[in-house]
Amino acid sequence: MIPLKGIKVLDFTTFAAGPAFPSFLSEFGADVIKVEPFDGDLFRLLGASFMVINRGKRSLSIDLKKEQSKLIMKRLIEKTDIIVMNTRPGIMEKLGLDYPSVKAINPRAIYLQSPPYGTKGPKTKLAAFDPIPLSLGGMYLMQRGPGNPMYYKIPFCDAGTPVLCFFGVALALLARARTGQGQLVGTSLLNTAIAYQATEFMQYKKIKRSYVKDMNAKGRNATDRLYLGLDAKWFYVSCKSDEHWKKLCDAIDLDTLKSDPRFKTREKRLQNDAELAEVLFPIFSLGNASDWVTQLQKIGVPCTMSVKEDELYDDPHGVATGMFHEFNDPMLGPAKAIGHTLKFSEFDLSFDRLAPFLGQHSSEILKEVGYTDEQIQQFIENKIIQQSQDKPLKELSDEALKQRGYPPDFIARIRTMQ
Amino acid sequence: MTGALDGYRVVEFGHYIPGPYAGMLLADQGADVIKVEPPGGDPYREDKGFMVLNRSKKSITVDLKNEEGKEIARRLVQGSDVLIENYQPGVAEKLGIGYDRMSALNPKLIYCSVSGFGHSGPYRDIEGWEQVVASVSSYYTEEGNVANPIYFPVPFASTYAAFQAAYSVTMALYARETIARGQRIDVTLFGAALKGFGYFFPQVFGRYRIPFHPQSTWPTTRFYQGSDGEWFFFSATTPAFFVKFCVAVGKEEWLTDPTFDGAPFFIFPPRNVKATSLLTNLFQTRKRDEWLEFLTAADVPVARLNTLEEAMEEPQILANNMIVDVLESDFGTVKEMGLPVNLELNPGAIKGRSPRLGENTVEILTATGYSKKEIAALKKNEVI
Repeated sequence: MIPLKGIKVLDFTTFAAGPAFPSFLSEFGADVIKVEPFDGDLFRLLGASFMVINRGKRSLSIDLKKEQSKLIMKRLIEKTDIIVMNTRPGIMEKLGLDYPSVKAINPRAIYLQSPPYGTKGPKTKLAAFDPIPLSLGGMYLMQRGPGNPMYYKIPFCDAGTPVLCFFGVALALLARARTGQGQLVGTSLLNTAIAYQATEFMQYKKIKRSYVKDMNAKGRNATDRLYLGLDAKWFYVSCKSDEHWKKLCDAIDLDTLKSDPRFKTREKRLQNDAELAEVLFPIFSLGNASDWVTQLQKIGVPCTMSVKEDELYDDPHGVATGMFHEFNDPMLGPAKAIGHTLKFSEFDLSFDRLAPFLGQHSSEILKEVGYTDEQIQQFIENKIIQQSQDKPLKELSDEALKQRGYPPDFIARIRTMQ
Repeated sequence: MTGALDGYRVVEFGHYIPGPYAGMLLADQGADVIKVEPPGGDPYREDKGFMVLNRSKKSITVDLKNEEGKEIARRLVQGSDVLIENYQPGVAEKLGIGYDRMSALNPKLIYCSVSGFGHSGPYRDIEGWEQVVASVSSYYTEEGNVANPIYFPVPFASTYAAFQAAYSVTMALYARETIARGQRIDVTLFGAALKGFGYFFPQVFGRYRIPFHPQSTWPTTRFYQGSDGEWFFFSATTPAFFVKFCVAVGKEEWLTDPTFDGAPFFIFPPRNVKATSLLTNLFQTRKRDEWLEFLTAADVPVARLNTLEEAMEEPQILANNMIVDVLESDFGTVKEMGLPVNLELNPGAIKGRSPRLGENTVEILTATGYSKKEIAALKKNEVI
C-alpha cells in the first residue's frame, strides 16, 4: 500500500532542516506542495543539496504579503492534512498562517512547527543555523573537553530534525485516526541537538566524563580504531569483546601478542593502550587495508574500509540493498543520491518526481482548488502568483548567474559542465 | 489527555543504543514498553547512557536459550502490538523470536528490526557496531579527509536509526488502522548513516568537498574567539545575515570586497584564509560576551560555545523542557534530556526511571497468566 496516499501537505519550510521532512512524506506517498516566495527558497543557490532534499514536491510560488493570496491559501488549507513550518515564531502570525488561524479554517489539519530554538523561551525570536544549537547544547566541546572546540562537518541538526518531525507527525496522524482532530506538533533544531547527545547530556553527583583530546582522533582505543594499511588506505578495526581480541591475535599470527601479559585482559589492554597501539600500528602497516578487511571480516572481527565519499555511491552493499537513487536532474545533470533506506513489507515507497523549478506548478495547483484559467491568469498578471519557466544552470548567461549570487569561480565551474 | 501511543504495547529485545532509544521514544509518548533482557542484562548497563535510553520502561529477564524462556517471549509478543529487536541478523531466529514465527503467532504485530547492515547483502554478517558502519559510510573521511580520517564519538548512525525506527513503527501502526495487519520493518545503521548525511551530499557535478578544520573551514560559519580568548560560534549563513552583520559592525566595504565574493556559501579555499583572518582580527576587538550581546541585538546568529555542564543551565533548553530530573536507583537525581517531540493534545511524559535488571519480571509474568508456582519454578530453573 501507499501509506500516505491522498494526504496533502503544505510545505512552507526553507533551507536545510525544514524541507527534508516533507520530502520523506512524499516518499511515503503524500502530495507535497512547496510554497515559495517570488525569490524562491534561498537554498536553491546550493544546487545539489537543494535538489536532493526537495525531491517529490511541487512548487507554488506566491506572494504571501498580498491580500489576495490569503484567499488562495484558505482554499489550500481547507484541503490540507499537514502543514510544515520552520520559521521563527512571529512570522507566520503576520501572514495569518499561524496555528490558531489554520485551526479555524481546518481543525483536522496537523501543524508541524520546527523553529530553530523553540516556541517558548528567551531565544525563540532569534535566527539560527545548524551549528548554533549544537554550540549552545555542548556538542562541540563534548569530544575534546572544555576550551577545545571540535567542529563537525556533518550537520547533525539539519539531518536529525526532519526525522524527529516525522515521528511527531506520525504520532499526530495516529491520534487523528482515532479522534478526528488535528493538532500542533513541535520540535526544534535545539531539541535535536540535545537528542543526539542524549547518552552524554546528563548531570549527577560523581558523573565521569572522558574526552578524546586529540584533534586527529583515530578511535576509542588501540583495538577499536582506524589503522593505516600498506596501500596508504585506512580501515577501522573494532574489537568489542575478548573473543574478537583472540581472533585478531590469530589473524595477526604473532604468538607473543596473545600471551603478552600487558594485553591479556580487557582491563590490561585499556591500561596499556598506548603501548598496544604502538605494537599494532606497524603490524597493520605491513598489509593492504583491503586485505586486512577481507581477512578480519572472514573470521568475524568487525572491520570495514574507511571509505571516501566518491566510492560511497559504488558501495556494493548499498547497491545490492537498493540504497541509491539515480536520476537526471534538469538543473544539474546526471546525479546519484541516497534513496529509500527503510524496508517495509507492506509499504510501497517512491520518488514520484524530482525537485521542482520555482513556481513550476503554480497554475496547476490553483486549478486543483477550483480557480479558472482566467482567474489564474489574473493572479499572474497582478503578481499574486508566479508561474516560472526555469532553465538548467548551464543554459543561463553569466549575467543571469551573477544576479542569482554565484561568484566568478563557481560560474567558471558551471561552464565546464557537460 | 494521554500520549498518542497510550494503549499500545511494545516488547523490546534491545541492547546498546539503536533498539532501546527507539523504545524510549515510544515509551515517552505513551506506549507500554517491556524490555526483555538476558540474565546478564543489557550490556549497555555499564554505560551511564543506559539510564536515559531506558527510562519509562519495564524490565523482565528471560533466558531465551531455554525453551521455557522462548515460551515466555511468545506469550508476551502474542499480546503486544510492536516488537523491536536489534540483534545481529540470524540471532532473533535462533532465539525463537524471528519474524516468521512471531508474525504467524500475531498477524497484527509490527516487527521492527534494527541492524547494522540489514538482513541481506554483502555486509549482512559484519557485526553492526556504530564505528564500522560510520567508517564504511565515509564519515571519518568526511570529517577529516582521505589521507587523514578523523574519528568522532557521537553515535550518529545509531541515534538516527533509532529516530527512523520510532517513526516507522508509528507509521505502521497508523497504516494498521486501514489494513488491519502488521508488517516487517528493516532499519539499518548503514541506511541511517547514508540518509542522515549523504542526503545533503549527492554525487553530482559541482559538489564541493569541504576540508577539515577544528573550528570549521567556512569563514562566516565558524568558531571565533573574543579578546578574552573565549569562544563563540558565528553563523552569518545567508546573504541577508551577512549583510546585517557587515552593516552592524561598520564593515559595509566587505559587501563589495572580492575576498568575500559569494558570501556566505561560496568563499572556497584559498580565499577563505584571508576572509577568516579579517574576521578573526575584527573579533579580537571585543570580549566574547560583548560580541554575543551586540550581534544578537543586530539579529546575527551567534552562540556561546558551551560545555555540557553549561548547556544544562541554558535557559532556552530549560524552556523547551529538555532538561528534566529523574530520580534513579543508583545515581540519585539525574538531569537528563526531556521529550524532543511534543504534541499539544497528546502530550507524552516520562513514566519513570530506568528499571533495575528484571525489576518487573514477576509483575509481567503474573499479568501474562503465570501462576505463583510457575514463576517460582521458572526462577528455580534460571529461566528468569
